[in-house]
Amino acid sequence: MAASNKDVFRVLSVLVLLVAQSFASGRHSGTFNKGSRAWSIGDTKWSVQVEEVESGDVHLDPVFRVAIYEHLLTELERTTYFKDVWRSGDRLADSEGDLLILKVKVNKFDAGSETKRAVTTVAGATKITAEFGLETRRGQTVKKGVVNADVRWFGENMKVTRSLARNIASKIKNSKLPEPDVTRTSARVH
Amino acid sequence: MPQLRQITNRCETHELLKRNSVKIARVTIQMRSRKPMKKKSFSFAVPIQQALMSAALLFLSITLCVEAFGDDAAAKQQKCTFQVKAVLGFSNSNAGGAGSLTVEHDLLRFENKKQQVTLVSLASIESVVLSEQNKQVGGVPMTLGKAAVPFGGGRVVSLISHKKYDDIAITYRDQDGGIHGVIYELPAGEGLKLEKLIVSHGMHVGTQVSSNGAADQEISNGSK
Repeated sequence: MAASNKDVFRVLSVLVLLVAQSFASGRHSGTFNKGSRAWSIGDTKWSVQVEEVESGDVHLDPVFRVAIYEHLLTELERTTYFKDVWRSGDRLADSEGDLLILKVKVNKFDAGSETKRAVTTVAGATKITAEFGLETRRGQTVKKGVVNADVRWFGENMKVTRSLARNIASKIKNSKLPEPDVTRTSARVH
Repeated sequence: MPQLRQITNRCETHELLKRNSVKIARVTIQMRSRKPMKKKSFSFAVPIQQALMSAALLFLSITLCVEAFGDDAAAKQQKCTFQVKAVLGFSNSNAGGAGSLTVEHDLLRFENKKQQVTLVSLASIESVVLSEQNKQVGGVPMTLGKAAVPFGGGRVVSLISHKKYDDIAITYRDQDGGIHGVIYELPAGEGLKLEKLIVSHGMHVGTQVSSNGAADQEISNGSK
Protein backbone atom coordinates (compact mmCIF):
# COMPACT_ATOMS: atom_id res chain seq x y z
CA MET A 1 0.00 0.00 0.00
CA ALA A 2 2.89 2.32 0.84
CA ALA A 3 4.50 1.56 -2.48
CA SER A 4 1.36 2.53 -4.36
CA ASN A 5 1.30 5.88 -2.59
CA LYS A 6 4.87 6.53 -3.63
CA ASP A 7 3.96 5.76 -7.25
CA VAL A 8 1.12 8.23 -7.11
CA PHE A 9 3.44 10.95 -5.81
CA ARG A 10 6.00 10.17 -8.52
CA VAL A 11 3.37 10.43 -11.23
CA LEU A 12 2.09 13.69 -9.78
CA SER A 13 5.57 15.18 -9.56
CA VAL A 14 6.26 14.24 -13.20
CA LEU A 15 2.97 15.82 -14.23
CA VAL A 16 3.79 19.02 -12.34
CA LEU A 17 7.19 19.16 -13.97
CA LEU A 18 5.66 18.68 -17.40
CA VAL A 19 3.10 21.43 -16.84
CA ALA A 20 5.79 23.77 -15.54
CA GLN A 21 7.96 23.05 -18.56
CA SER A 22 5.10 23.69 -20.95
CA PHE A 23 4.40 27.07 -19.33
CA ALA A 24 8.07 27.96 -19.43
CA SER A 25 8.49 26.93 -23.07
CA GLY A 26 5.39 28.93 -23.99
CA ARG A 27 6.82 32.02 -22.40
CA HIS A 28 10.19 31.75 -24.10
CA SER A 29 8.68 31.20 -27.52
CA GLY A 30 6.87 34.52 -27.28
CA THR A 31 3.28 33.42 -26.90
CA PHE A 32 0.61 35.32 -25.13
CA ASN A 33 0.30 33.88 -21.66
CA LYS A 34 -3.33 34.11 -20.63
CA GLY A 35 -2.52 33.12 -17.07
CA SER A 36 -0.54 36.23 -16.33
CA ARG A 37 -1.93 38.13 -19.30
CA ALA A 38 1.44 39.67 -19.86
CA TRP A 39 2.99 39.74 -23.29
CA SER A 40 6.65 39.07 -22.96
CA ILE A 41 9.32 38.26 -25.48
CA GLY A 42 12.13 36.63 -23.60
CA ASP A 43 12.38 38.92 -20.63
CA THR A 44 11.57 42.20 -22.37
CA LYS A 45 8.30 44.09 -22.21
CA TRP A 46 7.09 47.38 -23.52
CA SER A 47 7.31 50.46 -21.39
CA VAL A 48 4.64 53.10 -21.58
CA GLN A 49 4.62 56.84 -21.20
CA VAL A 50 1.30 58.43 -20.33
CA GLU A 51 0.62 61.77 -21.97
CA GLU A 52 -1.62 64.41 -20.46
CA VAL A 53 -5.31 63.94 -21.14
CA GLU A 54 -6.79 66.02 -23.93
CA SER A 55 -10.34 67.24 -23.77
CA GLY A 56 -10.62 68.94 -27.15
CA ASP A 57 -13.90 70.79 -27.52
CA VAL A 58 -15.54 68.87 -24.70
CA HIS A 59 -16.29 70.90 -21.59
CA LEU A 60 -14.39 68.65 -19.23
CA ASP A 61 -13.72 69.88 -15.74
CA PRO A 62 -9.96 70.47 -15.62
CA VAL A 63 -9.77 68.76 -12.24
CA PHE A 64 -11.19 65.64 -13.85
CA ARG A 65 -8.49 65.80 -16.50
CA VAL A 66 -5.77 65.74 -13.87
CA ALA A 67 -7.57 62.95 -12.01
CA ILE A 68 -7.77 60.76 -15.13
CA TYR A 69 -4.05 61.25 -15.77
CA GLU A 70 -3.07 60.28 -12.24
CA HIS A 71 -5.46 57.32 -12.12
CA LEU A 72 -4.11 56.08 -15.45
CA LEU A 73 -0.60 55.99 -14.05
CA THR A 74 -1.77 54.11 -10.99
CA GLU A 75 -3.90 51.60 -12.84
CA LEU A 76 -1.29 50.87 -15.50
CA GLU A 77 1.32 50.29 -12.84
CA ARG A 78 -1.07 48.01 -11.01
CA THR A 79 -1.56 45.77 -14.04
CA THR A 80 2.21 44.99 -14.17
CA TYR A 81 1.66 44.69 -17.90
CA PHE A 82 4.37 47.15 -18.79
CA LYS A 83 7.97 47.10 -17.73
CA ASP A 84 7.89 50.74 -16.71
CA VAL A 85 5.22 53.40 -16.57
CA TRP A 86 6.56 56.88 -17.23
CA ARG A 87 5.00 60.23 -16.64
CA SER A 88 4.55 62.74 -19.43
CA GLY A 89 7.69 64.74 -20.08
CA ASP A 90 9.97 62.49 -18.04
CA ARG A 91 13.46 62.73 -19.51
CA LEU A 92 14.43 59.30 -18.22
CA ALA A 93 11.95 57.75 -20.64
CA ASP A 94 14.09 58.95 -23.55
CA SER A 95 16.61 56.24 -22.85
CA GLU A 96 13.90 53.60 -22.87
CA GLY A 97 14.23 51.30 -25.87
CA ASP A 98 10.76 49.89 -26.35
CA LEU A 99 8.50 52.74 -25.41
CA LEU A 100 4.85 53.18 -26.21
CA ILE A 101 3.09 56.50 -25.74
CA LEU A 102 -0.44 56.44 -24.41
CA LYS A 103 -2.65 59.28 -25.55
CA VAL A 104 -6.14 59.76 -24.19
CA LYS A 105 -8.72 62.15 -25.59
CA VAL A 106 -12.10 62.70 -24.01
CA ASN A 107 -14.88 62.70 -26.58
CA LYS A 108 -17.94 63.10 -24.41
CA PHE A 109 -18.55 64.14 -20.85
CA ASP A 110 -21.74 64.51 -18.88
CA ALA A 111 -21.09 65.96 -15.45
CA GLY A 112 -24.22 64.65 -13.75
CA SER A 113 -24.98 65.27 -10.10
CA GLU A 114 -24.59 63.12 -7.03
CA THR A 115 -27.58 64.77 -5.36
CA LYS A 116 -29.76 64.09 -8.39
CA ARG A 117 -28.70 60.46 -8.30
CA ALA A 118 -29.46 60.20 -4.60
CA VAL A 119 -32.89 61.78 -4.96
CA THR A 120 -34.15 60.32 -8.23
CA THR A 121 -32.04 57.17 -8.66
CA VAL A 122 -32.45 57.26 -12.43
CA ALA A 123 -31.19 60.75 -13.28
CA GLY A 124 -27.92 62.56 -12.75
CA ALA A 125 -25.52 59.93 -14.01
CA THR A 126 -21.97 61.06 -14.67
CA LYS A 127 -20.81 59.68 -18.01
CA ILE A 128 -17.58 59.93 -19.89
CA THR A 129 -16.38 58.57 -23.21
CA ALA A 130 -12.76 58.66 -24.24
CA GLU A 131 -10.59 57.25 -26.97
CA PHE A 132 -7.08 56.09 -26.33
CA GLY A 133 -4.18 55.23 -28.57
CA LEU A 134 -0.90 53.50 -27.96
CA GLU A 135 1.73 54.82 -30.32
CA THR A 136 5.38 54.17 -30.89
CA ARG A 137 7.83 57.01 -30.93
CA ARG A 138 7.59 57.15 -34.69
CA GLY A 139 3.86 57.70 -34.48
CA GLN A 140 2.82 54.20 -35.48
CA THR A 141 -0.44 53.28 -33.73
CA VAL A 142 -0.16 49.93 -32.03
CA LYS A 143 -3.49 49.85 -30.28
CA LYS A 144 -6.47 52.14 -30.08
CA GLY A 145 -9.96 51.96 -28.75
CA VAL A 146 -12.90 53.74 -27.21
CA VAL A 147 -13.78 53.38 -23.55
CA ASN A 148 -16.82 54.43 -21.54
CA ALA A 149 -17.27 54.92 -17.84
CA ASP A 150 -20.10 56.17 -15.68
CA VAL A 151 -21.35 56.63 -12.15
CA ARG A 152 -25.04 55.74 -12.04
CA TRP A 153 -25.85 54.93 -8.43
CA PHE A 154 -23.60 55.84 -5.56
CA GLY A 155 -20.43 57.79 -5.25
CA GLU A 156 -18.97 61.13 -6.16
CA ASN A 157 -18.68 62.38 -9.70
CA MET A 158 -14.93 62.09 -9.44
CA LYS A 159 -15.31 58.33 -9.24
CA VAL A 160 -15.84 58.26 -12.98
CA THR A 161 -12.20 59.19 -13.58
CA ARG A 162 -10.98 56.09 -11.79
CA SER A 163 -13.47 53.90 -13.63
CA LEU A 164 -12.29 55.30 -16.94
CA ALA A 165 -8.62 54.76 -16.11
CA ARG A 166 -9.35 51.25 -14.92
CA ASN A 167 -11.27 50.44 -18.11
CA ILE A 168 -8.46 51.75 -20.29
CA ALA A 169 -5.86 49.78 -18.36
CA SER A 170 -8.02 46.69 -18.53
CA LYS A 171 -8.51 47.04 -22.27
CA ILE A 172 -4.79 47.44 -22.84
CA LYS A 173 -4.00 44.55 -20.57
CA ASN A 174 -6.35 42.24 -22.46
CA SER A 175 -5.00 43.23 -25.86
CA LYS A 176 -2.20 41.58 -27.75
CA LEU A 177 0.56 43.99 -28.55
CA PRO A 178 3.13 43.29 -31.25
CA GLU A 179 6.66 42.39 -30.37
CA PRO A 180 8.83 45.43 -29.71
CA ASP A 181 11.59 44.29 -32.10
CA VAL A 182 9.17 43.66 -34.97
CA THR A 183 7.70 47.11 -34.59
CA ARG A 184 11.10 48.71 -34.65
CA THR A 185 12.10 46.75 -37.74
CA SER A 186 8.94 47.67 -39.59
CA ALA A 187 9.41 51.26 -38.57
CA ARG A 188 12.90 51.19 -40.07
CA VAL A 189 11.60 49.75 -43.35
CA HIS A 190 8.94 52.42 -43.64
CA MET B 1 -4.05 144.14 21.73
CA PRO B 2 -6.66 141.91 23.27
CA GLN B 3 -5.52 138.60 24.76
CA LEU B 4 -6.90 135.73 22.96
CA ARG B 5 -7.89 132.81 25.25
CA GLN B 6 -9.44 130.65 22.78
CA ILE B 7 -8.86 130.61 19.24
CA THR B 8 -11.02 128.49 17.18
CA ASN B 9 -10.24 127.93 13.68
CA ARG B 10 -13.05 126.76 11.68
CA CYS B 11 -12.49 125.90 8.19
CA GLU B 12 -15.47 125.67 6.09
CA THR B 13 -14.98 124.37 2.68
CA HIS B 14 -17.81 125.07 0.46
CA GLU B 15 -18.48 122.42 -2.01
CA LEU B 16 -19.24 123.33 -5.46
CA LEU B 17 -22.65 124.87 -5.38
CA LYS B 18 -23.75 123.62 -8.65
CA ARG B 19 -22.02 121.38 -11.02
CA ASN B 20 -20.25 123.17 -13.82
CA SER B 21 -21.41 126.50 -12.54
CA VAL B 22 -18.87 127.28 -9.80
CA LYS B 23 -15.23 127.28 -10.74
CA ILE B 24 -13.62 127.97 -7.36
CA ALA B 25 -13.69 126.58 -3.82
CA ARG B 26 -13.86 129.07 -0.98
CA VAL B 27 -12.07 128.59 2.34
CA THR B 28 -13.17 130.76 5.25
CA ILE B 29 -11.21 131.05 8.50
CA GLN B 30 -12.94 132.57 11.51
CA MET B 31 -11.01 133.78 14.59
CA ARG B 32 -12.78 134.24 17.93
CA SER B 33 -11.51 136.04 21.03
CA ARG B 34 -12.93 136.55 24.57
CA LYS B 35 -14.44 139.73 23.67
CA PRO B 36 -16.51 139.61 20.75
CA MET B 37 -14.35 140.78 18.08
CA LYS B 38 -15.12 141.95 14.83
CA LYS B 39 -15.48 138.94 12.81
CA LYS B 40 -12.63 138.68 10.55
CA SER B 41 -13.16 136.59 7.62
CA PHE B 42 -11.22 136.31 4.57
CA SER B 43 -11.37 134.01 1.68
CA PHE B 44 -9.15 133.06 -1.10
CA ALA B 45 -9.88 131.40 -4.32
CA VAL B 46 -8.14 128.23 -5.42
CA PRO B 47 -8.32 127.32 -9.02
CA ILE B 48 -10.13 124.05 -9.55
CA GLN B 49 -7.20 122.51 -11.41
CA GLN B 50 -4.91 123.17 -8.44
CA ALA B 51 -7.42 121.66 -6.03
CA LEU B 52 -7.75 118.57 -8.15
CA MET B 53 -3.99 118.26 -8.42
CA SER B 54 -3.54 118.46 -4.67
CA ALA B 55 -6.28 115.90 -4.17
CA ALA B 56 -4.59 113.58 -6.65
CA LEU B 57 -1.24 113.99 -4.87
CA LEU B 58 -2.90 113.27 -1.54
CA PHE B 59 -4.49 110.12 -2.97
CA LEU B 60 -1.16 109.04 -4.42
CA SER B 61 0.63 109.47 -1.12
CA ILE B 62 -2.07 107.49 0.70
CA THR B 63 -1.81 104.74 -1.90
CA LEU B 64 1.95 104.60 -1.46
CA CYS B 65 1.55 104.35 2.30
CA VAL B 66 -0.95 101.53 1.94
CA GLU B 67 1.41 99.75 -0.46
CA ALA B 68 4.28 100.09 1.98
CA PHE B 69 2.24 98.77 4.89
CA GLY B 70 0.74 96.11 2.65
CA ASP B 71 4.19 94.73 1.87
CA ASP B 72 4.84 94.38 5.57
CA ALA B 73 1.54 92.58 6.03
CA ALA B 74 2.33 90.27 3.14
CA ALA B 75 5.71 89.50 4.65
CA LYS B 76 4.01 88.62 7.91
CA GLN B 77 1.48 86.43 6.13
CA GLN B 78 4.02 84.56 4.03
CA LYS B 79 3.17 81.41 5.93
CA CYS B 80 -0.48 80.58 5.40
CA THR B 81 -2.02 77.26 6.30
CA PHE B 82 -5.09 75.58 4.84
CA GLN B 83 -6.80 72.50 6.18
CA VAL B 84 -7.21 70.25 3.15
CA LYS B 85 -7.89 66.69 2.15
CA ALA B 86 -5.49 65.17 -0.36
CA VAL B 87 -7.72 63.42 -2.86
CA LEU B 88 -4.98 61.96 -5.04
CA GLY B 89 -1.55 62.58 -6.42
CA PHE B 90 1.08 62.41 -3.73
CA SER B 91 2.76 59.05 -3.53
CA ASN B 92 3.81 59.31 0.08
CA SER B 93 0.45 60.31 1.46
CA ASN B 94 -2.58 58.10 1.53
CA ALA B 95 -5.34 59.09 -0.82
CA GLY B 96 -8.00 60.94 1.08
CA GLY B 97 -5.65 61.80 3.86
CA ALA B 98 -6.45 64.99 5.67
CA GLY B 99 -3.68 67.38 6.49
CA SER B 100 -2.47 70.92 6.29
CA LEU B 101 -1.29 72.71 3.20
CA THR B 102 1.10 75.54 3.80
CA VAL B 103 2.47 78.12 1.42
CA GLU B 104 5.70 79.47 2.81
CA HIS B 105 8.22 81.47 0.85
CA ASP B 106 8.65 79.48 -2.37
CA LEU B 107 7.38 76.11 -1.20
CA LEU B 108 4.06 74.35 -1.09
CA ARG B 109 4.18 72.09 1.94
CA PHE B 110 1.67 69.35 2.64
CA GLU B 111 1.73 67.48 5.91
CA ASN B 112 -0.80 64.79 6.67
CA LYS B 113 -1.79 63.45 10.06
CA LYS B 114 0.87 60.75 9.83
CA GLN B 115 3.49 63.49 9.82
CA GLN B 116 4.43 62.73 6.22
CA VAL B 117 5.63 65.88 4.55
CA THR B 118 5.67 66.63 0.85
CA LEU B 119 7.32 69.71 -0.52
CA VAL B 120 6.68 71.19 -3.93
CA SER B 121 8.58 74.17 -5.21
CA LEU B 122 6.26 76.92 -6.37
CA ALA B 123 8.57 77.48 -9.32
CA SER B 124 7.89 73.94 -10.54
CA ILE B 125 4.13 74.40 -10.55
CA GLU B 126 2.73 74.51 -14.06
CA SER B 127 -0.92 75.11 -13.46
CA VAL B 128 -3.46 75.51 -10.71
CA VAL B 129 -7.10 74.80 -11.44
CA LEU B 130 -9.97 75.57 -9.13
CA SER B 131 -13.30 73.84 -9.43
CA GLU B 132 -16.43 73.93 -7.31
CA GLN B 133 -17.96 70.55 -6.56
CA ASN B 134 -20.94 69.21 -4.68
CA LYS B 135 -21.26 65.93 -2.83
CA GLN B 136 -23.43 64.02 -0.41
CA VAL B 137 -22.21 63.93 3.15
CA GLY B 138 -22.05 60.98 5.49
CA GLY B 139 -20.47 58.41 3.22
CA VAL B 140 -21.62 54.78 3.24
CA PRO B 141 -23.30 54.83 6.68
CA MET B 142 -25.44 57.77 5.67
CA THR B 143 -26.30 56.12 2.36
CA LEU B 144 -27.39 52.93 4.11
CA GLY B 145 -29.36 54.95 6.62
CA LYS B 146 -31.15 56.80 3.87
CA ALA B 147 -31.94 53.55 2.12
CA ALA B 148 -33.48 52.22 5.32
CA VAL B 149 -35.89 55.12 5.71
CA PRO B 150 -39.36 53.96 4.62
CA PHE B 151 -41.55 55.56 1.99
CA GLY B 152 -38.61 57.13 0.22
CA GLY B 153 -37.80 59.43 3.09
CA GLY B 154 -34.11 58.96 2.39
CA ARG B 155 -34.48 60.84 -0.85
CA VAL B 156 -35.77 63.85 1.02
CA VAL B 157 -32.79 63.63 3.33
CA SER B 158 -30.54 63.57 0.27
CA LEU B 159 -31.93 66.92 -0.77
CA ILE B 160 -30.43 68.58 2.28
CA SER B 161 -27.48 66.34 3.09
CA HIS B 162 -25.08 67.68 0.53
CA LYS B 163 -22.31 70.19 0.77
CA LYS B 164 -20.27 72.31 -1.56
CA TYR B 165 -16.52 72.14 -1.59
CA ASP B 166 -13.62 73.33 -3.68
CA ASP B 167 -11.29 71.05 -5.57
CA ILE B 168 -7.95 72.49 -6.48
CA ALA B 169 -5.75 70.63 -8.93
CA ILE B 170 -2.08 71.51 -9.09
CA THR B 171 0.21 70.18 -11.80
CA TYR B 172 3.94 70.44 -11.40
CA ARG B 173 7.11 68.97 -12.87
CA ASP B 174 9.53 66.85 -10.90
CA GLN B 175 13.31 66.99 -11.24
CA ASP B 176 13.25 64.73 -14.30
CA GLY B 177 10.56 66.76 -16.02
CA GLY B 178 7.72 64.35 -15.35
CA ILE B 179 4.33 65.94 -14.82
CA HIS B 180 2.56 65.24 -11.55
CA GLY B 181 -0.97 66.19 -10.66
CA VAL B 182 -2.31 66.60 -7.16
CA ILE B 183 -5.86 67.33 -6.14
CA TYR B 184 -6.84 68.83 -2.82
CA GLU B 185 -10.29 69.21 -1.39
CA LEU B 186 -10.96 72.38 0.55
CA PRO B 187 -14.02 73.85 2.25
CA ALA B 188 -16.10 76.04 -0.05
CA GLY B 189 -14.46 79.41 -0.52
CA GLU B 190 -11.06 78.37 0.76
CA GLY B 191 -9.93 77.35 -2.70
CA LEU B 192 -10.19 80.91 -3.91
CA LYS B 193 -8.01 82.09 -1.03
CA LEU B 194 -5.37 79.49 -1.83
CA GLU B 195 -5.54 80.45 -5.46
CA LYS B 196 -5.06 84.12 -4.62
CA LEU B 197 -2.15 83.25 -2.39
CA ILE B 198 -0.44 81.33 -5.16
CA VAL B 199 -1.15 84.19 -7.54
CA SER B 200 0.57 86.52 -5.11
CA HIS B 201 3.66 84.36 -5.51
CA GLY B 202 3.98 85.21 -9.16
CA MET B 203 1.61 82.93 -11.02
CA HIS B 204 -0.44 84.05 -13.98
CA VAL B 205 -4.14 83.34 -14.17
CA GLY B 206 -5.80 81.89 -17.21
CA THR B 207 -9.41 80.97 -17.74
CA GLN B 208 -10.73 77.58 -18.56
CA VAL B 209 -14.32 76.58 -19.04
CA SER B 210 -15.53 73.88 -16.72
CA SER B 211 -17.98 71.11 -17.45
CA ASN B 212 -20.81 73.18 -16.09
CA GLY B 213 -20.13 75.95 -18.52
CA ALA B 214 -18.89 78.23 -15.78
CA ALA B 215 -15.46 79.72 -16.14
CA ASP B 216 -12.90 78.03 -13.97
CA GLN B 217 -9.68 79.79 -13.38
CA GLU B 218 -6.50 78.14 -14.37
CA ILE B 219 -3.26 79.54 -13.11
CA SER B 220 -0.13 78.87 -15.04
CA ASN B 221 3.41 79.61 -14.12
CA GLY B 222 4.68 82.72 -15.72
CA SER B 223 8.25 81.53 -15.64
CA LYS B 224 7.56 78.83 -18.18
